[in-house]
Amino acid sequence: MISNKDEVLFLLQKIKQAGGSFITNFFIDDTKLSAWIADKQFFYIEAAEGILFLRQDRNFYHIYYNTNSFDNLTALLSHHLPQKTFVTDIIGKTGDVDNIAALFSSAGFTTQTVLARYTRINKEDSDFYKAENEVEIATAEYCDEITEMLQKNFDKYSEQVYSFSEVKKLVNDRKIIMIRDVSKIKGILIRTILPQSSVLNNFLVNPEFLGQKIGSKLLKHYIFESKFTKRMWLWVIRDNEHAINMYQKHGYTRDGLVDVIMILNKTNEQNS
Amino acid sequence: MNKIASILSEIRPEFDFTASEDFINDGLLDSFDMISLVSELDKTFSISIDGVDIIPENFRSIKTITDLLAKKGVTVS
Repeated sequence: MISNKDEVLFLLQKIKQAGGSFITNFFIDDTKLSAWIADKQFFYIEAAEGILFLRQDRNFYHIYYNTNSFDNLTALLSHHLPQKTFVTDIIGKTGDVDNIAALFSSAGFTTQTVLARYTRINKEDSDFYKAENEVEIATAEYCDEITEMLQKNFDKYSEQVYSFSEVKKLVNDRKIIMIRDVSKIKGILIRTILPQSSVLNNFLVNPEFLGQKIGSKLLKHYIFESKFTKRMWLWVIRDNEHAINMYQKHGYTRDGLVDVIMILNKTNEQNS
Repeated sequence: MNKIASILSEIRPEFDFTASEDFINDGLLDSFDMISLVSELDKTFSISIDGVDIIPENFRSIKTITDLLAKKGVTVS
């Protein structure tokens, strides 16, 4: 288990010192990394061929690879993974990720889904967007309902499904907006708005309320809130045409980055 | 234009990097951009930025990037 951030940096240093190209899908996010370490969810496997960081997420592990050649990555995946379930995100430009995805395939991984990144560069058209009256900031009393919605409707392997405590923090940070009626939440949108850019983290319309333009209202309100930023971006399942059409209608365009999510279940291998 | 500002503008042309003193908290660079930046700096200045130095603190501003390059013996005017 990793107990502090310096250990992570020390391990990365070893890979860099070994020379060759630095091949990784570990893009450090300070806040998340600190939380994973504090929650005792972050582990590593060190081998001659490189280092695999593992983050425990319920009953499976996210893999973050760090190595310096394709051959070494193949060796790491083929010889050093214990009997668990693993998920990895291979992030890069369309085409560039294919070689790495092929290495994971040869180690037994299968593609769960592919996400595509869409970006919106804000221009004068943002003035077209106004605050939507029905949209409100989610408050603490809705944490249970929001957590349940996310867990019921999202794929735990390919989408960020927040735990109750994470939802509580997001609510506390005023990062969740929603539309609701007296008894139920109709839709939520989770976003991170910084001074110059804005990220749509999660977006969900309660299936019971589809066809009521809930998604459109939440998205328009979010664009209104982000009008002072220059760049907005999000990840969407690459073949989710309905969502992509909506994003494109509001000025998002595909920016060429993809996230190939691959999965390997080794838990049955002992018995086979 | 300063060479670092020029590299940053190639990665994210929509932003004015000279107007920010905190690229990360202002949202000018995301974590993927940071890896692209390391790769561009390595290539442009023929250096290898150490793993221990690939942390957000070193990429917050043109000044912190200049200081990082100075550690590798690179002077940027």
